[in-house]
Amino acid sequence: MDEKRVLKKSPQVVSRKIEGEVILIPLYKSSDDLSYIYTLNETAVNAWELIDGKKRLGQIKEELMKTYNISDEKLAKQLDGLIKDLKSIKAIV
Amino acid sequence: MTISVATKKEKKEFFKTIIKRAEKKRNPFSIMFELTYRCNFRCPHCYIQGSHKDKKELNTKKIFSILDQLKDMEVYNIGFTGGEPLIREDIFDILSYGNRCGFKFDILSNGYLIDERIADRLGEVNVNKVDITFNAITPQVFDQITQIKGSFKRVKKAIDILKEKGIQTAIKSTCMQINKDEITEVSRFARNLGILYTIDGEILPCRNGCATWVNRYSIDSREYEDLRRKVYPEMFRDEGKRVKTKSRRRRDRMFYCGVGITSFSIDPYGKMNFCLEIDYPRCNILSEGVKTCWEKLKKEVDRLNKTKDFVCRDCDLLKDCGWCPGRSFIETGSFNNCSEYFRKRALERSKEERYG
Repeated sequence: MDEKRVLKKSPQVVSRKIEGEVILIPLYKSSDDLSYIYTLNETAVNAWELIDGKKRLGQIKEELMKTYNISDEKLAKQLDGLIKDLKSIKAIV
Repeated sequence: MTISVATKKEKKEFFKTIIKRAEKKRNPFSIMFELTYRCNFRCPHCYIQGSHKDKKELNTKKIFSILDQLKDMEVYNIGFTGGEPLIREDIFDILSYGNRCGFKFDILSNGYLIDERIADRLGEVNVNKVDITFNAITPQVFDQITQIKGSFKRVKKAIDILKEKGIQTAIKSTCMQINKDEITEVSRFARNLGILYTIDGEILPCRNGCATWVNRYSIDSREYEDLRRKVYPEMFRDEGKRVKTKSRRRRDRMFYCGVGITSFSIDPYGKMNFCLEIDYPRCNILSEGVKTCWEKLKKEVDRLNKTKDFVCRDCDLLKDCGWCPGRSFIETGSFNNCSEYFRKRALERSKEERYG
């Protein structure tokens, strides 16, 4: 994980809270995108909210470490997975 | 820490769960927003006639503010309707803002203004579905209904353009004496294009109670049933095996739809109403905000549901009756009245049930 990397949310995706669930909604149209809805679980929501186009990945990881009792290595691995997923749905640039 | 990506099937299940939660908490989920009462068609049966009209429609800024409030209240679906919503000069500012807010929205339009350029813009703002009123398959009858010469040609072209651009499109018809012989053909047209088609057997009276068109052009329930069988043959294919749908009507409450549970409508002047059919109770969103108006509307629905001498309570026709309190309100000025229109239909249905 490149801890110096700064992530930015894509203007093409908006997050909404509906009845206790946080969902990511693509604002662009393609036949595939219409078929899916992207939901975030609680920890992913916290990570998503920390992505502001300013914080480095290392800072985001530190913030999350304060909240969750998890090893540095395990958190880095999970953050990597999350970023990969967010990139695949064009939610971050 | 995970991000879950739901599949198509899961999406359906996901929203089922979400809607159940919204129903339980009585949070609005799906609403209708009338952006204007202006229209370029002159359909005589349109229920909009006789609506309350204020001096000024909501401006762009006020609509944005309402959309912000709807977003905060976790509304997900919006149906933008009119009049003809595409007649508004700021329509794409509104739709674009709605898209950026993350609403899933449909447009209910007559289709007349949709050309290549407008269709492209509808695609850009990520419209979920364009729902077009398409009441006939011959130019003569179509134009006779809209009272605009050449309207059939333009609307049909609009449907082709939307389809070509991959924008989800649906068409719908109100079944009337004037177009009943064309409904099956409209259905075939929709099937050939692979688009959704729905029919409605009820002509709504105008909001001022005028029912001239209803009385003159309504079809009876037998005629409507015949049309349903032709339009939706798959629904009746295994008729013998089908279990009769249980009536949603209840003796202990008036409203049996989503009014005051997860839905409401907003008129072009910022008044909140039960639904599109009824411009009541006209809570003022501009002075009180969406949230307060929603609370007031729910209370009003609850008050009406508790009506002690509820007119349907002891009626034998209840299970065959599609009575709507809103229609009673329009016809008689009171929610707690029998509707002559629905009584007649319930009697027809009850007779069919007994004698086949």
